[in-house]
Amino acid sequence: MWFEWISRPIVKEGVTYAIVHDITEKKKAEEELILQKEKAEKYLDLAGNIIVALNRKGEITLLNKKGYEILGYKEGTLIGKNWFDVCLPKKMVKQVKTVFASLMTGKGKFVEDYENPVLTSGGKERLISWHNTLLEGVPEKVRGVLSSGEDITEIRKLNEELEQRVKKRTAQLQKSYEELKTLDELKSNFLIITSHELKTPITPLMIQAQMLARGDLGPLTEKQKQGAQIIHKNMERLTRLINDILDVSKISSKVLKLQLKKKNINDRISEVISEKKPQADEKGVKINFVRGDLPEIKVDDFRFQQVMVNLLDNAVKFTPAGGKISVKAVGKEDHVLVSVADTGRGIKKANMEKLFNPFFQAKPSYIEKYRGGTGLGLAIVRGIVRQHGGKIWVKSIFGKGATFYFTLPINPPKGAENLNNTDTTETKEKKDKVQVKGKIPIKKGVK
Amino acid sequence: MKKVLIVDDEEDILTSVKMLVDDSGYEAETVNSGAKALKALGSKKYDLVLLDILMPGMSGKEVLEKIRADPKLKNQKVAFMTVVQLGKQGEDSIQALKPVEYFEKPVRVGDFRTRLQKVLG
Repeated sequence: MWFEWISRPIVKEGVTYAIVHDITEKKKAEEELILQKEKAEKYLDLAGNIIVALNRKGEITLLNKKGYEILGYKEGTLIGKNWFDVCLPKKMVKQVKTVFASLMTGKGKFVEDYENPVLTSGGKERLISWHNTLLEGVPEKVRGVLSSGEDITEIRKLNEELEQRVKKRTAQLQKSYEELKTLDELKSNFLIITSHELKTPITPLMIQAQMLARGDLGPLTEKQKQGAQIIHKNMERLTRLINDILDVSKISSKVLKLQLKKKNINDRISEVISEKKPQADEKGVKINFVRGDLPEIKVDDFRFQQVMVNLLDNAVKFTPAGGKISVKAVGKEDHVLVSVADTGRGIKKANMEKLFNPFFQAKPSYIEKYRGGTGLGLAIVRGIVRQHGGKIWVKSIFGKGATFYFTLPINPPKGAENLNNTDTTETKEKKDKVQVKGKIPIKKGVK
Repeated sequence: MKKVLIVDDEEDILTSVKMLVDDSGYEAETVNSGAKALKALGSKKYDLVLLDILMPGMSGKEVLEKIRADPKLKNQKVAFMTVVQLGKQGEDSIQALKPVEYFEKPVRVGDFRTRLQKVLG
């Protein structure tokens, strides 16, 4: 129990009067308040942020443990000190003080959240993200300010570093992309220029060799004629080889362009067979074609012809005298199926997949017997069929002939016209067109 | 005798194609650039122009564009003769310029003569 005594001696009467108040409740309330205050301070100390209260003059009335820790001062030493003079970088003191003063008069615009650096006892700056509340009072409208601040120095530094890294990486990626694009364009240019470079000298050679061999340039002796014919024959072979290499390069570099037009391929197959017939007749090989009931398909006529020529060339080449080649075209729901079957020696199982790889030829003895091919024909055929969105495969029993099958969809997939349907290829396409326009710098004599 | 103007920047090709055209019973003249071709066409009448596509300076396509834009020349028969593989249909933008024929270099003499006769009638 707590009592409050108020006593007064009255000398004249020889007595002392006393008034006793039971203040137990009041005391309890006071103790409770102290406890609450201590508890609140403990909470403040536990906080991971700076918590600081300033009075109207900007003096520190409260600063928690974290605050002292960040600012680098001994606990309790900053109470009563001017926050701005002690804890802010010199360069901003004047400005912040002005803002604070106007705020305390109730005139300034109060900003709840902002970022500001503080100055530590060691003279270093830490970036703090502040959240503020005005302390209201009587008679003054504003009594001070209570702020909570989070030290974001490291996070900001990390963010900035990360941003820098992202920027650097983005720049690197952009550079790589540009390099790839340039490389792609170079590759495309290289193909066109190589094609031009190789075919340009062949053109007059071919004309002269042919005119010589034909006797157009005057009569030749048998030996001279034979010589001119050999030159011509080998120029033809060289031309085929150049075209094949260029086609394979276009396919592997994904710059082969298709010009798709609706067409019934029966007639084109018949035409190719007619062209190959003399060659087959000479060898004693029969070619038979079963026309199908075919839907019109979107196909690149020139490339389709190339597929048929290559398949028939191979069939004629590998079918011995007395053999037969059967060509069949069948219409299916969403595609056509074409097959070319021969009665040649067939293909070993192990070679069936490799067959479509560029420069693949069966074993040397075989080459000896059937030499003359570039080994590129089937790679080109596969490239063209695939670009149309079709499939190609072969069935064969070794020793009993082979059948090549391929499909061509009625509607080739979107982007089939350009093998590599990306932005880069579009650029390449444009480039191609530009080149046809003659805008690439072709130096005279170097072309 | 029908006249043919051959346009190519390669001298050996010009000489060889001229020999071939002359030998086929036509009269061939040669120029080695698109600009010279337009100049020649401005002063003389030709039954056919054999035009290379990839040339330094003005390309064959640009030459043909100029020919088609010229009221006096717009019906001029022009055939391309180039190493650019365009296939049977040819590239659409080139087709639009209505070349009468498309010869792929290197040419085969027999085939070239047949097609040349067809074009010149």
